[in-house]
Amino acid sequence: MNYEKLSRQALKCMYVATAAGSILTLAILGAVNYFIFFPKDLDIAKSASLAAALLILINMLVSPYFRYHRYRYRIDKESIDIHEGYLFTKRNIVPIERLHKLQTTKGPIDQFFGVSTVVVTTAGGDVAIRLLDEKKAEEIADSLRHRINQIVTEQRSDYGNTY
Amino acid sequence: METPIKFRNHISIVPERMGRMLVFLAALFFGSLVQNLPDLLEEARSLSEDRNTFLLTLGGILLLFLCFLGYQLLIWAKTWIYVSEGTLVIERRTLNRKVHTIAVRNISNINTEQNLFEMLIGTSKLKLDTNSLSTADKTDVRIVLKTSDAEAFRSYLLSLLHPDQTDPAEGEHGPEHLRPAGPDTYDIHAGLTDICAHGIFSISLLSVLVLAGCVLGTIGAISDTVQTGFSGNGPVGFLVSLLLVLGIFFSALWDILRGFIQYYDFRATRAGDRILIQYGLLKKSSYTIPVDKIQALKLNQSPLARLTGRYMAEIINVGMGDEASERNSFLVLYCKKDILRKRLLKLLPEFSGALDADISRQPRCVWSVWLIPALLFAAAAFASCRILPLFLPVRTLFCVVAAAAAVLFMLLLLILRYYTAGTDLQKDYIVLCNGYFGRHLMMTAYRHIQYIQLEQSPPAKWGHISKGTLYLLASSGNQAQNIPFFSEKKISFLRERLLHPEASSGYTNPIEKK
Repeated sequence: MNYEKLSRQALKCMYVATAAGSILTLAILGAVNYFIFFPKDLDIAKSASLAAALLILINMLVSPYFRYHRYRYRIDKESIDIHEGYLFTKRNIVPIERLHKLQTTKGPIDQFFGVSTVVVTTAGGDVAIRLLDEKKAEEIADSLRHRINQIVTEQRSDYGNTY
Repeated sequence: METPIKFRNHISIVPERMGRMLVFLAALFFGSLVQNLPDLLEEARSLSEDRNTFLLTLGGILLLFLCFLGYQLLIWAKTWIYVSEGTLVIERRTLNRKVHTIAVRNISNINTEQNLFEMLIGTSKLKLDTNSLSTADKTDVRIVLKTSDAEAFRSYLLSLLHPDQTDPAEGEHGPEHLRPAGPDTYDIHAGLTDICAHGIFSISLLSVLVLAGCVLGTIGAISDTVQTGFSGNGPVGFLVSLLLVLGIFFSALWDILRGFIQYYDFRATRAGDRILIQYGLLKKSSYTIPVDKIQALKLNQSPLARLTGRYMAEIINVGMGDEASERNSFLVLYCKKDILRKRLLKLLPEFSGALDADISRQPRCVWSVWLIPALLFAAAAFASCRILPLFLPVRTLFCVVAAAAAVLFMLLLLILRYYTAGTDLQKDYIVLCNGYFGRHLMMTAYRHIQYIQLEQSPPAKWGHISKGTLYLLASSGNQAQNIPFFSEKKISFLRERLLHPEASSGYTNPIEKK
């Protein structure tokens, strides 16, 4: 099966988003250390904080690279198939026939890098195809919208025959 | 175009809603009374001196009550219900104008309900649910009508739901004619013995522990008081504590007794393409569920039921289990396997294969997947033995014993999980088995699965196994169903059946056959 990969812009976006999250977490950790752990001289807590800070830094440097290279998706006339993850990987298989609604979203970092996310909704919940180039996202959204309309028309005609 | 007949809810909806508000206020009042009783007793003297303030407060509360009554009357007078061109419309023309339009074909469950008040005045509540995820956790429409009108309206909606109904048993009188006349004509009618057995097998271990804790705690407190007299807050404080313990005690007791009372006079029958379920003593409920709207069947075994080979069947359907007190959507109460088989064949033959599912246990390499989290848990448990004594006044030996017990309990859970969980990927259905002490089996047709999420950790990847979640159209409690670890080789089969559920399918849905 041929899967599509994300563009280089997505990798940059992943790095920036992860860095922003990591810096925020490190700032909170630093504040907790400054106001609680250091004044009370809690050695174990200070060591644990140091270990946590190192893990956060390693994650910030390494995880976007792996997430980018693991991320792949495939959309055909039957299904949407998405592989994603870092250490723990996930695969979502969504039959196109179950789609009810779709939505395109862009966060501030996404807008800066020109990427967007297509969220497809089924009666069982949402699945997102993340960090697609804007043009690609529009193409995917258009083709899925067309397919959803087609399915609804088919269902209506089936319903009309029986109702 | 035919002019639709418009009607209102029965006027009793107003006192019922008011009653609900009064119960809420009473609960609030009682709660705050229990919390502040000692202070209130002190202030009572000054209150009697300031009578005007007291009367003003009382007048304010009365005014608030009258405003609420007026608002409820306005809502009742301005709310109209009608059916037009295959849609049910509920129109509310108050300041907040609302028009709720529901396509009748999307109705997944029609339920009538009668509480004690409604039984007394001869009304019923008609509750409708639709196939919609956004409203899967709540009832879409509630209509209060005279019982005979509610039954007639339900029949009318059912006839619209399946106008092509050609079941010879149904005749010319509409689907409601299928409703059996007496309890004996139902496929299943649970007697007192069945209800008691069900109550016993569904007792929650937690409730029993809470009950025992309350009894022991109260005995201890009373014996202390007898020996040493009242201390701290004095007799009032003791009374407040006693009231709180009694509250917890009766809540736990009700949780146990509910299993015995709630499903009193439980009856279920299959009538053509729908299942009819009735039960209740203090609150009578009656469900009409189109079989094609049933998303899945669940077979549950509590630890006690598992030991004695008993099962209970529930259905997953949007509309059942919306109320907090009716989380379980029973189809068959606890009974032996052979009896359950007979009952399922009568009620829901489409899912009767669940009992004979050939569940494959999780692959052996699942132990290597569990090894790392288990080691981490053990390390954290024993590390806490060094840390806890620094902060809490506990002995290291006590911590070590507790950590060892926690690790042993975790091992027990893993062993139970290994011997309980598994999957059976059949041609038309998927059967998932989960649990530890108890056992929970879930069977659904591939065509009801909305999407699947598969997950792999690095050890699972090396072992070529995967676990996951399948998502159904159901209330939040049933929406996600865990798929235990299974061989990676089966993923392509699962995908194929998910995408082409009808291909070479032996799935027989009585409605589609027609």
